[in-house]
Amino acid sequence: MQSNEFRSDISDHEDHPGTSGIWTFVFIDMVVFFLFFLVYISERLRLPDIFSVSQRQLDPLTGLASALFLLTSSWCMVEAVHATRRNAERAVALYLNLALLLGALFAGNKLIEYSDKIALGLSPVSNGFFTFYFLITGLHFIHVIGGMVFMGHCRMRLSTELGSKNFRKKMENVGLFWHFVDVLWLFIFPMLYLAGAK
Amino acid sequence: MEEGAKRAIERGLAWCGPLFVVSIIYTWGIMGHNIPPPNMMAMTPDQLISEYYGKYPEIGAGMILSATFGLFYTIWSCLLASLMRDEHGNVGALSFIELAGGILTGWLFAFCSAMWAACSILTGQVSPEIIKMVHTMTWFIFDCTYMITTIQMCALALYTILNKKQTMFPAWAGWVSAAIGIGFVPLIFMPFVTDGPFMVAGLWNFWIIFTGWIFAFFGVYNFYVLKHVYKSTADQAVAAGRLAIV
Repeated sequence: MQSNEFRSDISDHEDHPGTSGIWTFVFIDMVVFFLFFLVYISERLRLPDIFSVSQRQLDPLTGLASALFLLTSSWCMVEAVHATRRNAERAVALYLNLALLLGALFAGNKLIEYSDKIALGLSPVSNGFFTFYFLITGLHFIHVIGGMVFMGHCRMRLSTELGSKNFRKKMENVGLFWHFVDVLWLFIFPMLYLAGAK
Repeated sequence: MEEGAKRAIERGLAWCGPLFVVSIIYTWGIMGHNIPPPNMMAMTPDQLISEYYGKYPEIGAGMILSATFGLFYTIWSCLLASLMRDEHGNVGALSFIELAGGILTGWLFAFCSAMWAACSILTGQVSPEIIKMVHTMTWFIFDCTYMITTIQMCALALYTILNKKQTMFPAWAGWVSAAIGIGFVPLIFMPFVTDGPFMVAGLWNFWIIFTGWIFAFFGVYNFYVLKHVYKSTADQAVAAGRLAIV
């Protein structure tokens, strides 16, 4: 029998949350963001004054609010996954709805922040700091929207698919992805909003 | 066509990939003095002439050769598209998107190299302002049409990841391909910055993404394509997911 060296079946990972694909994706996504962070740090070391002064234009409380929204949403997603394993439909629905609501609050907060910056005349080409600010938070924002789309998909399929192994794996994959998005913000927030601001 | 001839052609086409890499590094990169390219957004026209085109006359020859070898990327992409079939042997939308991206990327290399060759050869005959305009415009075309290559890489990534029956390419290669394709997005900043990692010769917009594209995407898929075309016909069909594993 020829072994399928590149493919892993869902059943190969019965005891591990999610499928191998999501772990691979999260790892590679993490590498990409890590590279962005490294380039940001190198640029910050090259232009410390511009970066420190520009950081003052950001409101740390806005960043903190975003962190709280995502952390709480992540907790809701954990509860949703636990409820999925118990086949508790109402609990899954409740926690998914809450996770989505908190994700939407994060997105709304971010959009308000962007429009405030643009109203002040700041853009990705204002200076090096704001290039990174818009790029890194923009990429993260796209991840948040993507996570919400996946959560919405699970919410829509809940009543028809709950109880199946596929749905459980799907929820675990979405949960893993959402936790990754949350962890990313825990690095982005101090790096952009806090560290070195004068 | 005889099976032997078909396989010989496939193998020849597969070797166009490594040939492209080696030739482009030498002609476009070394002869063309593009490792890294000049930071034209921060240079005056006279500086672009004195520090680049006027200083390195071999740029013209390098770019003319690069215009030739650039199309080897297209040839390789055509082979790749022919491999991206579903379990029924049909070519689908992802294959066409990959093909379109590969054709246009190869064309970009050829066209832009020819434009830079013109800048080099016409130095001294036309004003530095015109040289800088053509040089800069060509870099905008080369960099800011990154979506051409991004769609190719994403189509290939989707085929690799979602076609569970194929074993030609590992899933991780697909994820890396998608990541690099999306990593091109900061190229949108290139026309507007004169220093830092997102300028034309910057740490991100040149070193990281070009190195990633050549080695982590092209090198990886080159390896697996070459490995595939040297398999027997039956093994190729199994690897492509067209025959059941017995």
